Amino acid sequence: MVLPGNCSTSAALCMQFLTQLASVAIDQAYQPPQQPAYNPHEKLFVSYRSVPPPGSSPSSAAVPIRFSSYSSVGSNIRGLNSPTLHPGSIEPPLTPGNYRLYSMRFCPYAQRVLIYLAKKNIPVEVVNVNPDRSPNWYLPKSPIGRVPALEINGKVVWESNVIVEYLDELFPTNTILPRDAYEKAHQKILVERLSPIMNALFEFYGSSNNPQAQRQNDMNVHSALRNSENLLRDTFYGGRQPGYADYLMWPFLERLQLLTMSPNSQFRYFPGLHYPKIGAYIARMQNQPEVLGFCKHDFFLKKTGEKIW
Amino acid sequence: MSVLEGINSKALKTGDLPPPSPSPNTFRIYSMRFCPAAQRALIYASVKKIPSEVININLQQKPDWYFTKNYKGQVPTLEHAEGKKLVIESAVIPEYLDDIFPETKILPSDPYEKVQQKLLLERLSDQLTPAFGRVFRAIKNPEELKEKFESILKAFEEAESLLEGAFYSGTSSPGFVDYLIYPSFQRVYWLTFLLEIFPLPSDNFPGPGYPKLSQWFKAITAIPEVAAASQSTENGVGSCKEYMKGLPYFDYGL
Repeated sequence: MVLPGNCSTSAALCMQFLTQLASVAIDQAYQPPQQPAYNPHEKLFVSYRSVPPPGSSPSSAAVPIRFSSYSSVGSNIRGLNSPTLHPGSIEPPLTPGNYRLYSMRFCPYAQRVLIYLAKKNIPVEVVNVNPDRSPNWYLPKSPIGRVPALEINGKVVWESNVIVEYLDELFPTNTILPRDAYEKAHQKILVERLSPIMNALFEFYGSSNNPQAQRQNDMNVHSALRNSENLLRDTFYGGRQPGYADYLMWPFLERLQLLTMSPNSQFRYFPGLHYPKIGAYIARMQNQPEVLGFCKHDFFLKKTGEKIW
Repeated sequence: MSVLEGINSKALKTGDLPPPSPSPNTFRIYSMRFCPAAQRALIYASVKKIPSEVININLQQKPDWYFTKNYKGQVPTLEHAEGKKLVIESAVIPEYLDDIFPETKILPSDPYEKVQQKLLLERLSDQLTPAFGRVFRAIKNPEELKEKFESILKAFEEAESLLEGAFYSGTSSPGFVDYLIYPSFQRVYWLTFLLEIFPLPSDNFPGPGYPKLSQWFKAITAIPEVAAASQSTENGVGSCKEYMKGLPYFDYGL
């Protein structure tokens, strides 16, 4: 079984509801603040708005920026919250030699690629498109208009798991997948073994509100968490440092935390006392700089938790 | 001379003892003779000329010990390094074999071309693999069959359009996509013998409506390394008939 690596219609429908409500919440978040102090995560969103529009910035070389203590992780990514392009929009021009990621702000598969790009510090421009009703110019780039898709010099690659491996091959000096063949295969197998997290997330959002379905969903989540707890044998699934499996699964685990806001779930705390390793793991992942820049959890809880359910 | 040993061994089932660990430098592939996913691994090992011993598993009465090889109890599973290394997933095994045997690498070295092969395989698989399953499950419901036939024909139209040259590799020799998608085409070929009303012919399959595909299928079928890793039409069709009767089919023809 090959895991889905993109937001197709079914996945986008899962996210559509969140998208609409979260977009409203985010717009509100950009109102002039009534209090001088920002939530640390809100600052990250605000800081991206201050990035000059792509057309006015000089072309950047399509090579990783050498690490500098003055540049924060994620500063290589422009346009993270650019307005979504719908049918009728005009294709933004792409400068030769520059990378572009076609994304949707709340797509967990696109988030995989963003985390990878931030970790590898690859300069990239993000263009958000509507995956359910794609602009006509986008359809030749990606089958059925799915996101994410990575483009450079007219070449387009899609499927999140394929894109990230492609990035590791293009920029091998800071590869995330292990170089050892067996360890590399094992990381891919781990993503497959952790996939109940993904399934539990989609089943939760896709199911009805009747009590029987709710109990089944909670059971699925417990089963997925037990499995994840058993498979975590080091600080991260990648070993002492986060790796491929961590980055590919994190967007789904992050969203699963929203269960605690739902009246349809018995989860009041996530992951709860029965999964101590996963609880500690979540805290560690939330503090990884390449993950922090794209954190949805606190933002969701703060801005959308009261409106979604 | 095939490098695969035991491809037609009897399937091990519940109660059968576990085989001893493979000896050093021996590769073992746990398979099921008629499983298209396992056939991918067998074809890849065969084409790369990796001497391998094949152990077949009865997928309806799986031995308990097999779950220590593959936590899902599925095939294929690759085992080597005296049993210390186990690789599962038909999507992972071929790349792993290319990584550890780079001298017979099948995937392109160029990162973009490599990615294109993987994406092309996914596009073809997404359409073909479920299409066969849908037709097969609808065999006893003639009213459903017509609809399923249409999805197969649509899949073949796309497969024909995606085949730009002689092979999906884009070169004059078969490659990654050709070897790994072949089992899915072969299963549909078997359907042409099972169903008189099937809309594609057995002769020169898949027929004059798909000229490039017909040449392609004939060429891949004729490759000795592919044939050595595949079951004959007679056994394949016979196993499907047994399955339709609800009879065990893993050792059909042995």
